[in-house]
Amino acid sequence: MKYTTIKVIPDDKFKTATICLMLRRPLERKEATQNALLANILGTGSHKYPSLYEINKYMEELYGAVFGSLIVKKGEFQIIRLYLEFAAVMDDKLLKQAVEFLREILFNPLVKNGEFSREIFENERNMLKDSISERINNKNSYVRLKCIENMCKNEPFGIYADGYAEDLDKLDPKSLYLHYKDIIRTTPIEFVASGNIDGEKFKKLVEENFESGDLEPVNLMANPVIYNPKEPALHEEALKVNQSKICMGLRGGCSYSGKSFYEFLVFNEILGGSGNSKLFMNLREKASLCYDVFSFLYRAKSILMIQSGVETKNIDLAITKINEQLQAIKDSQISDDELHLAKQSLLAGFKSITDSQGGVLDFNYTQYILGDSDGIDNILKGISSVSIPDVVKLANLLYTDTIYILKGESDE
Amino acid sequence: MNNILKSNILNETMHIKTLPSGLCSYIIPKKGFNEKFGALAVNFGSCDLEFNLDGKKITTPEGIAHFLEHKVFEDEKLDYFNEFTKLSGSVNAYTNFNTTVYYFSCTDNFTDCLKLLFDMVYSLYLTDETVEKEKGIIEQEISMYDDDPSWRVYFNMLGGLYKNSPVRNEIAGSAASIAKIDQAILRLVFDSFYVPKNMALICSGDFELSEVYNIAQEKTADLTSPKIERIYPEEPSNAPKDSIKDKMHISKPLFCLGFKDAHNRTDEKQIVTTKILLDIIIGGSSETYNKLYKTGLLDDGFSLDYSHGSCYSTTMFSGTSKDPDTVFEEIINAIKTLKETGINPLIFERIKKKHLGRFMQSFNSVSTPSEMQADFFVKGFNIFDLAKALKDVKIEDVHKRMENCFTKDNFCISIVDKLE
Repeated sequence: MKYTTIKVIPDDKFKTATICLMLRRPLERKEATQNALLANILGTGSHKYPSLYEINKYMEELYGAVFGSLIVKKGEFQIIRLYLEFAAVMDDKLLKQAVEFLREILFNPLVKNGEFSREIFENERNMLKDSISERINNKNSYVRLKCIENMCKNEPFGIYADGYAEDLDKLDPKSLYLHYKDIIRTTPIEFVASGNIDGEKFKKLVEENFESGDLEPVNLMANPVIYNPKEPALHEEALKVNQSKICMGLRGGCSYSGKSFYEFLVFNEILGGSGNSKLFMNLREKASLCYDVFSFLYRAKSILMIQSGVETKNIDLAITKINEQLQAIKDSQISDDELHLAKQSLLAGFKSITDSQGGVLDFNYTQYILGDSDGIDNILKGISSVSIPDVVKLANLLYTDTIYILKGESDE
Repeated sequence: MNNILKSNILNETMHIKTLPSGLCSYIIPKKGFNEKFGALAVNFGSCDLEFNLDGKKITTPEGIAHFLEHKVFEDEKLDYFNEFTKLSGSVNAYTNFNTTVYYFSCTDNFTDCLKLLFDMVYSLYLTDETVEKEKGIIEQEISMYDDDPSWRVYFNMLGGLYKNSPVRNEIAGSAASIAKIDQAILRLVFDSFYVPKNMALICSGDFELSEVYNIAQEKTADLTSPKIERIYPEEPSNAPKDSIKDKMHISKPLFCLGFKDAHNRTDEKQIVTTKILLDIIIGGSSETYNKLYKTGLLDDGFSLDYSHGSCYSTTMFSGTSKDPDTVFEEIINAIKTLKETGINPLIFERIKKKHLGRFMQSFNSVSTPSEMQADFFVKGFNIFDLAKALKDVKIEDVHKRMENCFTKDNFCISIVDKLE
């Protein structure tokens, strides 16, 4: 039995159309690595397009269409996403070719004698292993990943959605193929499409190319785990770099939709969401401690991260200053101006979502998987109605769970 | 000059007009979008270190353009970030080798944002204290880039390719060079370069054109432009070093192979022919790339680029590989083979098709075409010239480009290896 759901948001101000096909799985260690490798293998070839060479050639024929197969981590879901963006205005035939191509990639992988092609399997496994070890190349994202890994060590969100090197060693072309068969059998296919696209024509093409039925939405969302340590857990890792990196993870008392979500958005904006924020003004502009300091939300997990890069000798000072700003919000030291600026900046951001296909696709899909029926208009209203006491109340529920420090050790 | 350019293939227009003050404006209407974008681009980047002003030679410290960019955001009374946010806008800036660009995007109050942008860019507030304070921030910025292996491998390559060109220097300069910056020198370069004749206004979105012209006219009416002569050092046509190695805390070596052109005069045709040529040699649909991918020597992070400006013109191949030397050999072999066999017309047509579609894709967004135009304005051509060049390019043009792009002594391979 197979289910498809389709959401199309057409807008002909765009030159291209983008189709995303999603297979959404619970984020679990036992299959995370298999899914990650599977996404890569699917994107590398099929019976009709047996190598990357053939795929790339075909994409060029489709006026430089952009195809990708990758893993997305959203809250406690691991999503295999196939996407195709093509210059729809160039040729009417492209839509049909695009849908047929995605079907081919998903249902016709290179399989011989009940297993994935050994050559492709080995190469993709090695590449994935390399890319896992390359996490350290970007220090900003590395410190964030390490902070999340430690902060959420007992929750699915702490799992790396791009897999684990040691788990890769346990896989083989046959077991992965069986896993693929299992995925195809048990995972509903979710389509989201946007841009220069005829919605009815697209739905018809999907119906023709993919089996369909009624979708019974399954709540795959794990229950949020709230820990409440007295002291934040502090982790330090030494590395030969010039600049030290700090990442702090906060959580508690907020939600990914409704009033609490709007308050969380405003709180983040005031704290470190922009060049007007308390962190930027105090750590960078006043104290001259850093070039970058910012905070952001993982909406679907309802946690907030704070990051900065400072000189090693200033690590403690920077953490003290970050805590001062958190305390200031808890103590209601927020001006009407700050509140107004935070809201203006959020409103502008939500209003321009419809100006990019990526924004449209991500917003609509996120609302769908979080079961949030709010449209952009409702969210704009919700943000506008947040008050200073609302923000203070939320701030007092939040606490710092984990601090991860990448400590620079210079050669001198 | 008042000119309306239309592109049938893109179904887009661009209005070009030079205002009485000398400021050149480029406006790309985008109906139906909420976002509106405005930018003031200054023909002044990290390569502009020496110039003649009224017959007097001025030499400035490395990183001056970038430092000035930071200070333009400061005002005695106003916090520009706040002022833009109040209007629903967000403002930012960047400095590259040849340009400093200040830009905002907003959903409402476009004309007020535009006025604010002019006020911000045409005024400079400095004190000794604020100049000193900025040094701490920029030192951390330099330090951040220094830890970035892809930044390091790129600048090491430029250092190997160029002997004298200021493109060798980091855009932000170094801790030592910015230590020399003070109020007087910042004020001098501001007065010399931040003048209408040396700048462009670039806007896109759904708004009234006449409003933009009125604001631009009013805000620049009283401004004059001094005569500046830029001085760039002589640069030999060969690369002083063919290989540069470095080590960092990374998991897999990074490489950047660059070929430098003997002449830095780039036009839209050269951009198009170089990009097509690169794809033919080792793009995603080439045999060489696929051989290296299958043997695990290249991954999908491999990229091809052509970068150009007043002091440089560089064709690049970059990525990560466990064996960069073999990749390098394969690239050289692919070039050699292609020179012998010539370009297959079918492949040429397919790659051309790809670039047409990709170029069109950039018009999906309000800001991307404007950002491209902000980069092109100092180079003397515009994005519609590029569209035309892409439509008109012939296989012979690419053959011709191949002959001068790669020579025996114009390359450098930069590798950042892992620390053991």
